Amino acid sequence: MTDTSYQTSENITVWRSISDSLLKIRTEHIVVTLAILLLVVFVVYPYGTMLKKSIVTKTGDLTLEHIKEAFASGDVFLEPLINSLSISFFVTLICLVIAMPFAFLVSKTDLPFKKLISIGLIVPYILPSYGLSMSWILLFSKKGVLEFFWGKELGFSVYGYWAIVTIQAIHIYPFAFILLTNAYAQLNQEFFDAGRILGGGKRYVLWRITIPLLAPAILSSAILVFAYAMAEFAPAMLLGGPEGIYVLTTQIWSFATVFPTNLPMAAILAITLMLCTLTVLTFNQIYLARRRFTTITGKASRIDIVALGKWKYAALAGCFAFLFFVIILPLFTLMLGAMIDIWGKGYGLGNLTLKHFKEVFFELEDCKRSILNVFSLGVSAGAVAVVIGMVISYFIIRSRQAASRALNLVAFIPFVIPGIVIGIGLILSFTRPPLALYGTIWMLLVGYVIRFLPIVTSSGTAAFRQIDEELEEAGRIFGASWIKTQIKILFPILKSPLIGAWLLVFVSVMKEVSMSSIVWSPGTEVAPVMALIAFADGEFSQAVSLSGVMIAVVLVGTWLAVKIGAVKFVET
Amino acid sequence: MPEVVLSDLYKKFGKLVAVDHINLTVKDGQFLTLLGPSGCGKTTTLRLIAGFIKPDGGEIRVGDRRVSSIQANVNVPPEKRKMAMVFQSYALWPHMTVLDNVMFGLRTRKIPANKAKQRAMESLALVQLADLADRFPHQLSGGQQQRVSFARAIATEPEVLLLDEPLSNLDAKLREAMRFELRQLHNELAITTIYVTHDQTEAIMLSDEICLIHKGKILQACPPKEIYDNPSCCTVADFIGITNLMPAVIKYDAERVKAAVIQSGDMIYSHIPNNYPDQAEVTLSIRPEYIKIYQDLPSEKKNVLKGKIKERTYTGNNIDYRIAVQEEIIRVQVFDTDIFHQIEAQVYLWINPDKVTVLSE
Ligand SMILES: Nc1ncnc2c1ncn2[C@@H]1O[C@H](COP(=O)(O)OP(=O)(O)O)[C@@H](O)[C@H]1O
Ligand SMILES: [Mg+2]
Repeated sequence: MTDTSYQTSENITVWRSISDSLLKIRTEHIVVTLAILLLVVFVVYPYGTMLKKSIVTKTGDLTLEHIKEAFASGDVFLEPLINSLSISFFVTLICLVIAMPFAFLVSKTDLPFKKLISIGLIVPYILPSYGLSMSWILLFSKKGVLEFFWGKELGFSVYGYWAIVTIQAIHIYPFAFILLTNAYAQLNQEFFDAGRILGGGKRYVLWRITIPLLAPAILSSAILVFAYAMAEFAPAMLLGGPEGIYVLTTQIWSFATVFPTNLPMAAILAITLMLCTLTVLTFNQIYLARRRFTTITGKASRIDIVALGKWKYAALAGCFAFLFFVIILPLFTLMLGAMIDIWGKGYGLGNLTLKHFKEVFFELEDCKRSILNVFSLGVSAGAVAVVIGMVISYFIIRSRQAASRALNLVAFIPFVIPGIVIGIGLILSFTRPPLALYGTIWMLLVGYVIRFLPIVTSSGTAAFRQIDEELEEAGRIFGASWIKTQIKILFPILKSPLIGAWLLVFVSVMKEVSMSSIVWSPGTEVAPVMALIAFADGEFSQAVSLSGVMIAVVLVGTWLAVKIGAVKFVET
Repeated sequence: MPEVVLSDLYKKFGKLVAVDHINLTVKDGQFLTLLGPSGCGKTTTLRLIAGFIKPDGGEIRVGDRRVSSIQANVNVPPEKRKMAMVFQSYALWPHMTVLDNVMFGLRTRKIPANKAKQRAMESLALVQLADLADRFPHQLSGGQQQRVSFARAIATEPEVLLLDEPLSNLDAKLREAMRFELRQLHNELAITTIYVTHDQTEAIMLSDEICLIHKGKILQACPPKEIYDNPSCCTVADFIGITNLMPAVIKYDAERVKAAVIQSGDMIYSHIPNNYPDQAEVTLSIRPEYIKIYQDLPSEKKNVLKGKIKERTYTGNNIDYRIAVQEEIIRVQVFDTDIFHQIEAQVYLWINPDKVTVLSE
C-alpha cells in the first residue's frame, strides 16, 4: 500500500517537472531565438554590408579597386593608420606611467585622503573627451584663459599630434588606474612574505615575484587602453582637424560625412580600425586565458601598508596638484568659456553672462532640439537596453546550452567595436527599405542600444550570477509558477543593478559622439555632436554651454549610479 | 637545531596592543603551538618571529643569534633568519611550477641548479608529490597545494619552521589526515616548530607544548595533557575542551577538611591548594567525562550529588547529558552508550576528586 502511494506521488512530481521544463524550454527558446535574430539584424548584418561595400562596385561586381585605391593614396589611408597606431601607443605609455604610481599610492601606502583621491583620479574618465578637448583649446589657445590670467603669450600651438596624445591620456589613464588598483588589491601579502622568508631580498622578490604577478594585469590594461585610444574620436577631431592631422576615426568621419563622401573608403578604413582593435583584444583574451592561473584566488590577507614617512605630504601635494590640472582647471575653463559674452574681450567679470544657456535651452532651434533629442534618446535607449540586456543576461547565466554561449559572444561584440565602426555599419545597412531607418531618430536609438548593450549585460550577468539558484528554487517549491517566480523573487534583488545599468546607458549617451556623429541627420541632432560641430565651426559659446549641460548631467548621473551601488570603480 | 626565545615581546598597531609582553621559550626540536581565538595576536607573533614586522619592544633570539632587539637596535631581515614558513593561503606562486616553487628557497641560497633540483625533488617525495613537480599550483587540489607549501618550506632545511593555520582551508576529513601526517613529519625531521591555530583539538593532537594566547597575552604554556587537566584559569579551561565551570566557596567540614561548597549546598572534595583560605570564592572546573552517573545511591561517601536528567544527546561515541542539580545545569558525557537514562529520571552523580580543578575566579 505504501508502495503505490509512493509511486503516485513520484509520478506527480515527474509530471510537474516535465511540464515545468517544457514551459521553461519553450520560453527559453523563443527568447534566445528572438535575441539572436535581433543581434544578427542589427549587429552582424551591418558588418556584412560594410565588408560588401568595400569589395563590390556600384554595379554589384566584385572588385579590389577600393582597396588598391586606399593603399595607393597614402595620405587618406596609411597616414591616418600610422597616426592612430602611434598616438595610441604613446597614450598607452603615458597612461601606464600615470596610473602605476597612483595605483600604488592608493592601494599600498598610508597616503591620507585615499578615498577622495581615488574618486578624483577617476573623474577625467567620467567627463566626456569632447569636453576635455574643448577646455584644453580654450585654456591654451592664443588669447585663451591661461594667457589672460598669466598675462604672457604662451607661444606654442594648442593643436596637433601631442595635444591629441595628451588629452586622450588624461581621459583614458583612469581606466588603467582602475584595473591596476584592483589588481594590486587582489595581491596577497603572503606571496611576498613567502619570498622573503625563503631567502629572497627585497629586490629579488620584486623581480621574481611582484613583477611577474603584476605583469598580466599591466599588459592587459595596456591592451585595453590601446584599443580604447584607437577608437577615440573627439580629441582627434577637435585638436587634429585644424592642423590637418587625421587618425582613422576622423578620416572615416570625413569620408562618411564631408562632401564629396566616399563610402567605400569609409568602409575600408572602418574595417581596418576594427581589425586593429579586434586583434589586440583577441590577443588579450588568449593571453589572459593562458595566464588565467595567475589570477589570484583564495583569501587575500591584508597587504602591508608602506609608510610614506616624510614623503607623505609631498605625495599628497602631488596628488592634489595633479587633480587640480585634470579636473578643476578644465571644468573651470569650460564654465568660464560658457559664460563669455563677447569673444576676444577677455575673461573679466564684466564680460560674463548666462545668456548662452538661455539660448541653447530656449532660443536656438537646433540646440533646443538637440538637447531634447539626446535626453529622450538617453532615457529610451537606457530602457530598451535594460529590458533586452537583462533578458539576455538571464539566459546567458541560467541556460547551459551552446545558444547561451553564442548569445554571450554576440552581446559582447559591440563592446570591442569602435563606435564609429558601428555608425558606418548602420548607415550602410539601413538606408533602404525594409528598414529605412537612416534619417530618423530610430537609427540613433538602435545605435545607442547596440553600442551600450554590453553595459547592461555585464552588470546583468554579474547580478544573476550572484543570485543563489536555491533562492529561486525555494520560490518554486512554494508553488509559484515559473514566470511569477521570476518576477516576484528576482525583481526586488535586481532593482538596483537595473536602475544602475539604465543610468549608465543614459550617461553614456550623453558622452557618445563617435557613433552619433556618423548617424545623425538634420532634424535628429544630438547635443554632444551639436557641440562638437559648433566648436569646429567657431561657435564656441554654443558648443561650450551645450557641453557644460552634458557634463553636469553626466556627473550627476554617474554619482547616482555609484550611490545606489550599481558601479564600483575601485575596490576599497 | 637552536631554541627560540621571545623575551618581553611587544607590538601595537596604533592604539591596539596585538602582542602584549610575551615571554616564551621554544626548545630545540620542539613542536610548540600558539593557540587562541581569532584576533588574539597569533599571526602577529609569528610575523614578528619571521621578521616581517618590527616589534615595538623586547627581543627575539634564535640559538645565540639575536634576530630582533629593541635595546640593541637589531633587526635581521626575514631572508637572513634561516626560517621557513607555511602560510594560511599556502602562498604558492601561481606563475611558477610546483618544482620552481620548491626550488625558490634553494636558489636564493645560491645552491647550483642541479643540486637544488635534486633536493627539491627529495622534499616533494617526502610529501608524496614527486610526480606532480611539473604542474602549476592551480592544477592541484587544496590538500596537494598544502603539501607543496610544506615541501617548499622544509626543502631549505630551516632552523625554525613557522606554520600559520596551515590546515584551516581544508575540509574536515583531510584536515584530520594531515594532522597525523604533519606530526609524523615533525618526528622525522625534528625541526624546531612554531605552529599557529585556533583549533584546540589540532593543538592537542600535534603539540609538545601549547601556549594559550588571549588578547595578546600568554595565559598558560605547558604540554597538552597538563593544560587539559590543570587549566590555569577559567578562560583556558573554557577554551580547551568542554568543561563545567561552577562557582563555589571554600569551607571546612566537620572534620576540619577543606572542601568547596557549590550553589546546591553540596560539598565537593578535591586537592584544594593551601593558598585558598576559608570562605574564598572560587570556580571549579570539572570535565564532563570525569563525572559518573548512577541510578541508585553509589557506594562513594563523598562528592555525590542528586540530580534530574534534563536533556540527552547521542553523539555516536558518547551520550551527552544535561543534568539539573537544583538550579545548576551540569554537563556529563558517558562513553558507555548502551545505557540510556530517561529524561526527568532521578540520578546520582559522582565527581572524581582527583579531576576537579580549583580556579581563582
Ligand atoms: N597590519 C595591521 N594593522 C593593524 N592592525 C592589525 C594588523 N595586523 C593585525 N592587526 C590586528 O591585531 C590583532 C591581532 O591580529 P592577528 O595577529 O592577525 O590575530 P590572529 O592571527 O590571532 O587571528 C587583530 O585585532 C588585528 O586586527
Ligand atoms: Mg591569524
